[in-house]
Amino acid sequence: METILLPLGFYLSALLLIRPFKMIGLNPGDVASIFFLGSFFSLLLTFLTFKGNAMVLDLNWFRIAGTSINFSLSLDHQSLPVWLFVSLTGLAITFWSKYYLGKGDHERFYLIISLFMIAMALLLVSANMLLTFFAWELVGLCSYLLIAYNRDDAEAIEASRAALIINKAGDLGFIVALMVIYKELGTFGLSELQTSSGHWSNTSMTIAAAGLLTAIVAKSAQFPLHSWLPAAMAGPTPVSALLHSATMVAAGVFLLYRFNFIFPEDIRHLTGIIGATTTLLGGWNALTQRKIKALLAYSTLSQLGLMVMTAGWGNPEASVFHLVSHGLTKAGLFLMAGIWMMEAGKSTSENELEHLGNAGPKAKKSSIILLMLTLMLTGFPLSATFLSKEFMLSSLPATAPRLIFIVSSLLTILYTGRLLWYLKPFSGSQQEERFFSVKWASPILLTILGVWIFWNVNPLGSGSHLFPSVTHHPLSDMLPGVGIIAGSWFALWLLWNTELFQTIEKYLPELRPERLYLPVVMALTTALQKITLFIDQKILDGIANLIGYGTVTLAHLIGFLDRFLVDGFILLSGRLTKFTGSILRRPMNGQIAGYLWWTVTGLMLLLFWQWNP
Amino acid sequence: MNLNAILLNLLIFLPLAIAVAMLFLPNGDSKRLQQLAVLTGVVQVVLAVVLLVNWQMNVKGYQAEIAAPWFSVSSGDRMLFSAGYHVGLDGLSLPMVVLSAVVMLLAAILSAKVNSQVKGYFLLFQVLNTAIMGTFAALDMFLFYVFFEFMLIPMYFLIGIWGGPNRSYAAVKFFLYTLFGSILILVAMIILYQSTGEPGTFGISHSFDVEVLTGLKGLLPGSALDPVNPTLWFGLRASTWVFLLLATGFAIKIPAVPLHTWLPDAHVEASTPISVILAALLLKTGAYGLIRFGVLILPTEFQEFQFTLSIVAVVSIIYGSLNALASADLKRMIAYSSVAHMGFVLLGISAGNTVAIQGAIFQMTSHGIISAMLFILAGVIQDRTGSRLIGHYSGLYQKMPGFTSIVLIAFFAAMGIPGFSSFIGELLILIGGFSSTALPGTIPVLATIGILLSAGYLLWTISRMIFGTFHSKVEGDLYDLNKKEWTVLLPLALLTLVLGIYPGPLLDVILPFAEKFSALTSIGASLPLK
Repeated sequence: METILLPLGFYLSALLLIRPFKMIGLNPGDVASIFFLGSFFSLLLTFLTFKGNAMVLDLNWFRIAGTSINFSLSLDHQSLPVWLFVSLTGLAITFWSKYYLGKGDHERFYLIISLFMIAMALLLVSANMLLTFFAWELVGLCSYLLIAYNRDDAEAIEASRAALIINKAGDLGFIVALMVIYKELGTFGLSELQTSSGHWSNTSMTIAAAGLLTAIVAKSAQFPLHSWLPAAMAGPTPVSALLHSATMVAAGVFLLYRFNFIFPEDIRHLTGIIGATTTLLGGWNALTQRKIKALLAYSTLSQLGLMVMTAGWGNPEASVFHLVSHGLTKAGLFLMAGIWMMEAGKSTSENELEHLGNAGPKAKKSSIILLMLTLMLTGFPLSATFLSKEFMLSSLPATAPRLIFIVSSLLTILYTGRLLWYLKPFSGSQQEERFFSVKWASPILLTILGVWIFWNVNPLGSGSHLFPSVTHHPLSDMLPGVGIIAGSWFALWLLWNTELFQTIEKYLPELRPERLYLPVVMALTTALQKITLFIDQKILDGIANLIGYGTVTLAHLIGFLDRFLVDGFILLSGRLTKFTGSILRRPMNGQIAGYLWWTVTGLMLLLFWQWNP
Repeated sequence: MNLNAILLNLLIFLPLAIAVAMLFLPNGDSKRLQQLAVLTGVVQVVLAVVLLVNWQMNVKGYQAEIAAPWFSVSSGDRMLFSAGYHVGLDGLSLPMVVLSAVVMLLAAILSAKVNSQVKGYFLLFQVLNTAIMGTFAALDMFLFYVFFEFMLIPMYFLIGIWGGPNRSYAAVKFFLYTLFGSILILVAMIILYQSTGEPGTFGISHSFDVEVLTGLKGLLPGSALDPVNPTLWFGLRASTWVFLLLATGFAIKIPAVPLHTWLPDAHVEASTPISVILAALLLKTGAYGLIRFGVLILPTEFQEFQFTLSIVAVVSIIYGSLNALASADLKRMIAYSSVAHMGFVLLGISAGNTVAIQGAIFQMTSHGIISAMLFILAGVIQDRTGSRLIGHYSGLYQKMPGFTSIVLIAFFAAMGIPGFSSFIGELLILIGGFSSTALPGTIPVLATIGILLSAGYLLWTISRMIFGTFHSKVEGDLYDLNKKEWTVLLPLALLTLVLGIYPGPLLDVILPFAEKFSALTSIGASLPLK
């Protein structure tokens, strides 16, 4: 029990004690880092002594209609490795934030990060679907608060709102899943769900799974609910690194893994299709981006797409391994991007790749780390991502998914190559910097952990001993993968300094997906406009703005109805009353005799009517 | 008469007693008048807390109950009618009474700004206090009606005299609407009176006691409501008419679309403390009345209308949210969001099963807390500059950091973000509604859209008003929350957090009542025994 509560307790202490410690003069960033370190070490201890038995905490949270909804947490072979990863990444990025945020009062930042760590941990270890939803929504809230951390930045505010609205829209699916599950089973406990998952009807299961998938698509930024993630890059870089590349967006993949037993065949197929679309779209987009954070964001989309695709068609455990290995690498890359931007004096809104080339850090180690991280992102042999990618690829059953996987991997190599080409490592004057500093500790740590040896003794293996469902392959199966990756890099290296590269680079942004489909959409809209022009100018405007402003327009319309129709009806009845009143007032002429006459007649009528001997 | 019953009666009548004492104070002594009102509130909160501590869980019946004869009308030997003074609490009314005590105290604190006719204001305020407490505690429909009506008159004056520029229009509108509702309820009561009673040695004795009325236990054979040989009026059974009258009457107070148009006007014109009472408590009396004196009296008829009620609920949720989205005035937006949130309560009631009722009563409590916060916050802005238009402000966080944090808490709470009470309330209503056999699954699924819409208007308001670069189109010093505002806002923020993180105790308090409710309204169980 304490093995679960201790790491959570550290996060909670961070949340509660940052303010008191600040009052006695301690830096909120340091306080948060120390508590996160405590949390990480207590988890590491649990991990090292883990024997495979789930550690369970089961407390009564509240009771509804005789059913107890439990606050149940389970630290098991599914949640422990991922939590360890989240805890480490959170620690590394929080520590690095001190460098990035610089001087000033950033208490709020660390408070929200602490809340996020609690929510993320709860999401991972929860063994009750209602609690999972609780944490799931809370994670979305933290994301909103962190994107809008700089509350002056109009772009960031807009992005934060879009992120939360899209997440909330996806969460409606989660609510539907909860409703179906409660109706079918009357419980939300993970173990009860597992044991009874065979007993409920096919339609219910499909609806629940589809709902859950909607929530996952929104949170993990899958097509077609992906647009918020690139926009979220307007937030601070540590936030992009932690939430929007490594941990929060991966929550959907974890959910696919944890609740895998709910997903029936057809929904898994749909999951695969969504993932495949996202990975290709993301890779294509990443290839055409001019900003470093946008490139990394679309790359994240692409990698998340791979994970979701594999969770649908192949082995979700492989997806979770890639979640971890990619998360470490991508977090490291974001930190490098942050360092480059800091050195070049660029803010989050002006991080064009071409301005970063010669402005980066001068230390030699920066070049080495950057090169290692970019190679790792592409799944280069000797890295953890190679192991996870092999694991994913070998779990895909059919040729078509494998082909998509390979295309996406090639796209990864191409856009990563672009990144390197722009950032120009090993060029310019090289000078030495202190090795251990706030700036470099986290990227170095994240890079080192991306090396194969921490995951699998065999550098050309597949998967990791942390994820036991892996099947071992002969070395000959690995060689094509090694060949493709190494060959592509070699080809890139050959092209490195040629004119061709520059020419392609010039035209790449023209190839953005939206550049291709927007003209079509525009042409269609214009045609439509011309057709409808003589019908009604206002309807036309409505069509042009339909997607964006539809809801608001409807709201205004209803507001109008409310004021004039419903209220008007009331006013009308008021007038009617006044009118009838004016008629009825006539007998009230102030003559006592008249009143008496009315009273007596009325009484007589009443008596006769009620007379009931 | 046990200790709890004494405490409850003290809770109800203390404000009235203080009001008598206030009569002897001079009109100009506004400070002492307000202090007396605050003192009343403090004592009431203490009493409510003691009641809460003494509460016995898992008890199905009423607690802190007292039943005494009040007056009776007789003709010779024949006892025609007896009204009882019957008050008590159960899982439905206890949360409401505690909520009322807290909200009335905060409203009294907020009333310090009243500067004209102070004595009249506080006298009416105290009468309103007693009336609200009595409404929630009464277990005799006649007594309930008396208290229910007694809320109307002070409220009319409190809006009409101490309100905004268009106050008399709003007050008259409020008065006419609720009076209309009350008349419908009165007509229903007369029919109920005719049809129930206890046959005694000297003929039938009529009564309005909740024990006699609930499930029409005291139904007289051969009367208009007898299901064996039903009386038809205009093609509908008399019992159907009674249910419709009661449901419409209470729906005005809830308020359900399309009977809601009094609410935005009343809110916009009322002063801050009155808005708070209106949203946090008066709307609840409607939902409370519908449950206790509508559904529970005629459970069979309720079953016929569950689907209709749920449609009204979903329309209220979506229509209210869309109107909130269209509102330029902060207070109007919050008022419409109340319509949407009370729509959730109505949805829970219409689902009728234990989970949904637990959720509905939880949501009533939660909305009481959250809407009080929202209206206080709107009042803060109005106090500073006199304008409540969202478009007049931007970047308020720079001038008012404390205000910003409470706005974020209140807005997130209203949005149903986990960790805040309405998350639990709405979720229970939705899962209860979906598992209800009386409603098609599409109804609660449609209602979820309301959650998304609420996120839409609340986040939009945050983006426009709170974040961004600072500017204000109106004059006025935008200073941060003062000590008094913190005093009223912090407890509410804490309450919604505590209920959102640990809803167990409150749900346990509600559970026995919810079970009783669903047993009465599930099919077959509701047929009168006699």
